[in-house]
Amino acid sequence: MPTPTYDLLASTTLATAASSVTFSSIDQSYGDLILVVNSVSSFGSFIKVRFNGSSSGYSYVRAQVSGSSAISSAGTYDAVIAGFTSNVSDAVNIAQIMDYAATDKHKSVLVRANATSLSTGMYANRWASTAAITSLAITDSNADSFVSGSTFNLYGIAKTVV
Amino acid sequence: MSLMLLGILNSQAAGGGGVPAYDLLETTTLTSTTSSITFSGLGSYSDYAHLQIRAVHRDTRTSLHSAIALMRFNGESSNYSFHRLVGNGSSVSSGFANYAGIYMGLSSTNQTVSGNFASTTCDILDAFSSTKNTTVRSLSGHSLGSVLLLSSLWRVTDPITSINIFPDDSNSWVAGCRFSLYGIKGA
Repeated sequence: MPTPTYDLLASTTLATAASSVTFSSIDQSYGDLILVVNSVSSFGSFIKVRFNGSSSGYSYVRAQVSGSSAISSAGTYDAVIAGFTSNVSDAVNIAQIMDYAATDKHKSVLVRANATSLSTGMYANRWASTAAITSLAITDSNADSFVSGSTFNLYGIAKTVV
Repeated sequence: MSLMLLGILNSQAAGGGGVPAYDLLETTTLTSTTSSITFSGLGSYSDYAHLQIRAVHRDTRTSLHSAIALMRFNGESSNYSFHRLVGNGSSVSSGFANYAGIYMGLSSTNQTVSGNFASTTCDILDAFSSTKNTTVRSLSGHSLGSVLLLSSLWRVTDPITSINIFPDDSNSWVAGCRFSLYGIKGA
């Protein structure tokens, strides 16, 4: 039986500047999460997302283009890289957080990152933990604040037909 | 997912007055090693416009850190093409090929650390059209391998009735892999 899904779980639109946004007590009944961030903060840094307050166990591989330059790199980090930041309103980033409630696998996060004045790119992230994700905290890697009007939306995607 | 489609779905999720447009149709979660999975009888979903597959997968290969997840429609093994854009951690490359199936995505393998599964999101556009070739777009990867963006084509105008997903290296999917099929409504 088709099961309607893509449910809005949480939404924050900043009324004043804030250095972080946290979604906690995340509903555990979905299969995947989709995080959509349309924000303004600093130019040329990253959207960071930490799960369950943890600052370790994250790794990534990325490919991105900036003008005519294309680069790829991989490494470890202290958070999932969930997109690009910009100081003008041209950045929207979409992160697919897969099997977030599973306890038998690491957490993988696919990201399509976009900031028109900076770059467009894609990331495959991993959090080397089998813990279910119950909270996520979003910050700017340059420790700048997100300006008023920045939006953060979290959606749940079912994986169990009901 | 395209920004246009995302906008539609965001509107739905925010209670914008539309009708629900995104449904989970089927999920297969493997409890043991399996050589392939198939979604069949898809004609019953022909009231949807598009299909999406969301998958978390790992291949039994032990010789390399990555493998290709291949996808075939209606049991056919010809008339597929793809363009790929890949970042392997040190360089970006691209390519085009005609192949025996669609590259659905990049899988992790048993050569990598335990627990490392790759992910794929794959959009199959106008899946039930009988007048268009079938176009597919996907994003996939894992942090111990590469990240891969694909645009693919099945040069056939038949509506899709089945989707078979298997490792291109003739290995198998490990227990714990998950493949979910979603339908997206059109007009």
